Amino acid sequence: MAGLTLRNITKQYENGFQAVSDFNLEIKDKEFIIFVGPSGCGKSTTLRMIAGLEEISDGELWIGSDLVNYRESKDRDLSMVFQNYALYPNMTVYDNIAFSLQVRKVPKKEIDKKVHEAAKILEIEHLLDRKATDLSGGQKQRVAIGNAIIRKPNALLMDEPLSNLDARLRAKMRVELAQLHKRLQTTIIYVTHDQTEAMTLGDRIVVMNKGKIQQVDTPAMLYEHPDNQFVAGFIGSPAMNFLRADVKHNEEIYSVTLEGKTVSFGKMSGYKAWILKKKYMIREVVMGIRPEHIYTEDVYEKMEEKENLSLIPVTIEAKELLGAETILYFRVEGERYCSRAAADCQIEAGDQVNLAFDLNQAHFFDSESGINIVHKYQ
Amino acid sequence: MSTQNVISAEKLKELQYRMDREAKRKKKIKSGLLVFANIVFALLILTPLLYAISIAFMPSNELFTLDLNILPKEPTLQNFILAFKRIPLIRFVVNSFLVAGLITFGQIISCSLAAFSLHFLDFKGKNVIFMLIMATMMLPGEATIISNYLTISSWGWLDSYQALIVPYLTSAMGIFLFRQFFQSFPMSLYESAKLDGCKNLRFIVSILLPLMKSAMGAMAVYTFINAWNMYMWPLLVTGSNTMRTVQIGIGMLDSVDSQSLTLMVAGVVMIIIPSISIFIVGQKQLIKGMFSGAVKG
Repeated sequence: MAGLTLRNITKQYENGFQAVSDFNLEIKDKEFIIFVGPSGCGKSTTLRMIAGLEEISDGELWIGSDLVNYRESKDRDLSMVFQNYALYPNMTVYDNIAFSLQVRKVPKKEIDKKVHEAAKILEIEHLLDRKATDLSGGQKQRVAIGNAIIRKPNALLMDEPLSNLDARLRAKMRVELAQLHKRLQTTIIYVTHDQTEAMTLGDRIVVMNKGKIQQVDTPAMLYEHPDNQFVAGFIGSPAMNFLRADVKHNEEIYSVTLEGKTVSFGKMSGYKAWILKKKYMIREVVMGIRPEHIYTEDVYEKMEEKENLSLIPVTIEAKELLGAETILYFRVEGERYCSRAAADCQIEAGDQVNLAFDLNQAHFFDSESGINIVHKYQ
Repeated sequence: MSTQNVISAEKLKELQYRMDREAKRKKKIKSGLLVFANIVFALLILTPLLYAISIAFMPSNELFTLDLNILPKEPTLQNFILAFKRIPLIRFVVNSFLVAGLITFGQIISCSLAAFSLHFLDFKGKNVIFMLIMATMMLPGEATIISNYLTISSWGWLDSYQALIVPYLTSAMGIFLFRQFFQSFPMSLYESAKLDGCKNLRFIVSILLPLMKSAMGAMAVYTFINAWNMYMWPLLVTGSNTMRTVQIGIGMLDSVDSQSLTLMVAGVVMIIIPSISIFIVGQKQLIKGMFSGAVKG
């Protein structure tokens, strides 16, 4: 077990394309860290560089106190779980799990003990004699994990391990993975494009886009204090709504003009209002507001603090009933936005309603760089 | 509702029975036609072969008549016996088996290793090398035969097994076939093995080879038949009866002074038995392997 340090890691292909650039990260021992981002953002490439399956073009990779850039995969003492399980189809489950130890010529008795130990943890003891090809997707994934954990590696690398499973099984395996991490006390580096997996599993999340780290933080911090517009839009489902807004000064009340309508902030105090006043007066900003912070009128009526809420008339375009909640879609000047409402919400598609935007909960981003204004002027 | 539209239960049953019979009859006719067409085409293709077998059993005076003699009137084994007496046929067959077998074995080893490095390993100029190998397929074998002969003779290998075998120990076709198969092999298995601490040779022996039995089978059948049917090269490099392969040996049955068609055909019939039986045993593998990588699923 050891921590990992990535210093200025860069991956540049021969055709000049930079898949990962200047990647800096300190991964602590026993940490569950997630690389998340849209496809093609370089998260898998980074993982493969750590594993030694891709050459590192530039930078340093440290495992514990060893520089391992030029060490072969098999000598890095890492193990990896692949998306398509990568089980050896000609072997039994037992041999699949034991393979890495058999290669290392560990005595048979010891292998046997360890295989049964791993199988017990993963609840696949009854499958040990079966051929790997005869298993279901979830069972295959367990065997793959068994193969990965049996030799207690420095770190466990997982490349979208749950993507091939159906939704229900994925949710189940997600919970089990979290428990497994607690039980094994090992460093896990986990790549996914699914932000639900990222939010539920990770101690810390690395959000990546276009080969660059956007933000490294705990799930809660990422959700509540996104560094920039990309992170704000990527984390959270349904995604955050973004509106172009002008900041105006109006008799000590800070207001933004939304799509031609002036919406009052009320007597907003605090840091956000202060920065808006100091730095962005009469300038355009991007306002981000999560669907759960746009309320329907009946919720608005019941609220006590209404100073920072502004009602905006909209036409509902579509309604999605998700069981526990309802998502309302509407358009403001061509852009589509959504709001999260209660399951028993009576609004139907086509209705003209007023929705309340909770500006206290809004985030503001620099319209040029996309950086969160709070972070920019901290 | 009019009463005419109501059908009694018995009538319905009878109707069902009739329609069922009709459908079955149609199906039978269809499959019958198919079988018939197959038999016609099979006969068309097999007639020369069957006729050859028939000739092999004829006394030669039966062949040279004006009557239509399809089947021998007085079947005889004389032709076969004579063929064995005239030339050391057994020795030739053994030679052929040895040469074809070793060529097959050698090609499987060399081609699979070459294809492995061309697909799984990463090195500069990989694609150029592969293209060069493919380019050699465009060269007809006859074009290189003289230079090969000169090389072999300068080594003093003429009239030996190594002269027959060594030049054919690898083939571009084999490398291509194996590489094609590897292309459908999931790369993550190789990567997983690498992380498990598995060296390349171990990977080939304990994972890759067991998983590509069908490709190996196809290669083996294809190579064996090709090697068995070699004519030009063995004719050039062998001179003595101890080294000749069966294809050359058969040519020895033909002599200007006493040509006997029935004798020659008897020899030919005997030597095609091994190649046909190998094909029958391996045809499933051959077809499966030939198309692996070409079609998905």
